[in-house]
Amino acid sequence: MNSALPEPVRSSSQLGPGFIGHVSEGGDSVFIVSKPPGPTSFTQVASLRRLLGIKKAGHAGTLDPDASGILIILTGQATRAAKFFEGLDKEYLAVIKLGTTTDTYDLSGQVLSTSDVPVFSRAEIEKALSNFQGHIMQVPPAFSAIKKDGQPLYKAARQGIAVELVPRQVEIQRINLESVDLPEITISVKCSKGTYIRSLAFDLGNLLGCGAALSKLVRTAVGEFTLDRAVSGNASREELASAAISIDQALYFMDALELSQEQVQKISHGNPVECSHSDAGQIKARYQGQILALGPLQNNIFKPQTVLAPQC
Amino acid sequence: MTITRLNNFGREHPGAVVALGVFDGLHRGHQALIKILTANAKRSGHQSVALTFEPHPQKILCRTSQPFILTTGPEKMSLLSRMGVDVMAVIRFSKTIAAMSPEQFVKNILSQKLGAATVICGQDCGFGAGRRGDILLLKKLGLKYGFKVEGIAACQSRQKKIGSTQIRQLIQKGFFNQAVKLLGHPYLISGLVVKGRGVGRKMGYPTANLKVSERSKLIPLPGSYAARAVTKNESFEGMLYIGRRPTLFKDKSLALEFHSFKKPGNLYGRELMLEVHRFIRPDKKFGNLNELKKAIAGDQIKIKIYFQPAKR
Repeated sequence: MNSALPEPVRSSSQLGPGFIGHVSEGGDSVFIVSKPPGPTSFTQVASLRRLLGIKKAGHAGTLDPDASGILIILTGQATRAAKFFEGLDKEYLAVIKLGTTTDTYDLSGQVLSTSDVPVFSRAEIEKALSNFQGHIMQVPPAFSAIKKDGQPLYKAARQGIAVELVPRQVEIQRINLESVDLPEITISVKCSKGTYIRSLAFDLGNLLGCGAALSKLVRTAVGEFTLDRAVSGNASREELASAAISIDQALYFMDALELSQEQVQKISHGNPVECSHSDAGQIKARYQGQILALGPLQNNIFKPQTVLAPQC
Repeated sequence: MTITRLNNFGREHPGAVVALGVFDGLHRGHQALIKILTANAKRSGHQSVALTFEPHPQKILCRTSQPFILTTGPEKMSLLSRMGVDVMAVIRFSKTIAAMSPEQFVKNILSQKLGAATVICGQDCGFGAGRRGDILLLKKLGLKYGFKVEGIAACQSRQKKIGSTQIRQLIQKGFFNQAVKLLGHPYLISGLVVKGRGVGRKMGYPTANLKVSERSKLIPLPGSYAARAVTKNESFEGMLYIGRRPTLFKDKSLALEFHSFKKPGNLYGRELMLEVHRFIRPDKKFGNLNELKKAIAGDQIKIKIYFQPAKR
């Protein structure tokens, strides 16, 4: 299907020199960045923005400050496509420390309890992990970036205000025990968007009876974007610019629809167009090699949900 | 069958044969175990006791990442009683129970409280804090406290162990009929009949709108199902619709509606237990009401044929 990930290309290099400062290299592109532990996702975006001199940039899916790994950063018009990237499945490698519980469910928080860790066998831990496989209802941690009434939950939690947390359905497609080095264990998880590995760690601790907290988290993949293809969060301007991926290539998971000239007009006004594309689903509409709009296609009608303004 | 909370369990059942388990789903594996329980009790002339936990331990232990459950308390009761178990003893699961060491659990509950003469459980069972106790320890403790232990090997279907987790996943992925096969009985859904909007009645298919009070109860995927409603002394064949009624309404609330082929009388405010036998077709948005009616009529024929006694 979506065989290999496209090689990174310079998306706006055709603009040539002289444009730098106005439209810089790496505008309207997608960056697969490997965030180091420490900075918040927002800081990471800000630094990339500064480095490339781009006005508009955002990320598709927060990564906790202490966590590291893939952060998808979108610039310019690509930011409009954020929600399509947010929906991608994530893969994580997580180190969980048994015997400690904290209020944030990771080791950055206040320690609530500590206890001795019995000598668990692999099988015992694997059995407890298997409970999470499949669809589960997950209550997000109070210390999370989910927004309620426009404010991230952690702001209230830090002030000690209790907020009602609404459980959400998430899917754990795969959960494997990678290694055991008590009191720490390493697991790998493939899950749907919105899954909190911290919460899994907390519950695993309860199931095992000794408590647990997340000690290290690496996001190893988002969709087909894997860490080995990501550009370092501390990369230089040149390295970053050459790692830019075009919107078209980054949306590898969508079928493309070639637009005719008449259709372009309609689409850019946000009107649906009829087309004879066979498969229903999410579609990227292309004209002269540029992605113009994204949206669902059903019964041979393409509805542009997100229109990317033509780049003049 | 009588149901008692463990606290009320007196010494009226000396020498009881006890089966231990959460028994979520009461699938074919559980059934094999219960069969051995009832046979053993009959042979020895003692009471058969199914010792189980309510609520499901995962509801207490997995505070943030709750798996769905297959069987609620009342459903478990109904199934166990049909299987001929004399007593269902319920341990109210709490953090205190969860913190008991395996030996405490065996000593306080199995030995002192129940006075078990024989304990039957799965070969891969776990008990006590963190499920640290296994069948070997149970056998050892059995010698100490004077009861026999019988470990039952897991039931297999196509070389795979039949387990609640697997069945949950089958239902969530839409393989309902396969799940029913592994369950060995129709899937139960119980709830309160509440007032709906009366649209079904206008269409000629009056339905009972079911409100499921157990929030973590696993509801099969949207679609049309062959179902039978069972009350104390009657049963009604009919069809169950699960879905968001896309043809009729724009709101996204999930509805469970049961239409009985024979007039069931007034059901409002009553608890209804549905046996869901077979998946008929997935949910679909129809162009108009007539198309929907046609589809329902088609379902009705299929379901009536399904419920017809086989002529052999």
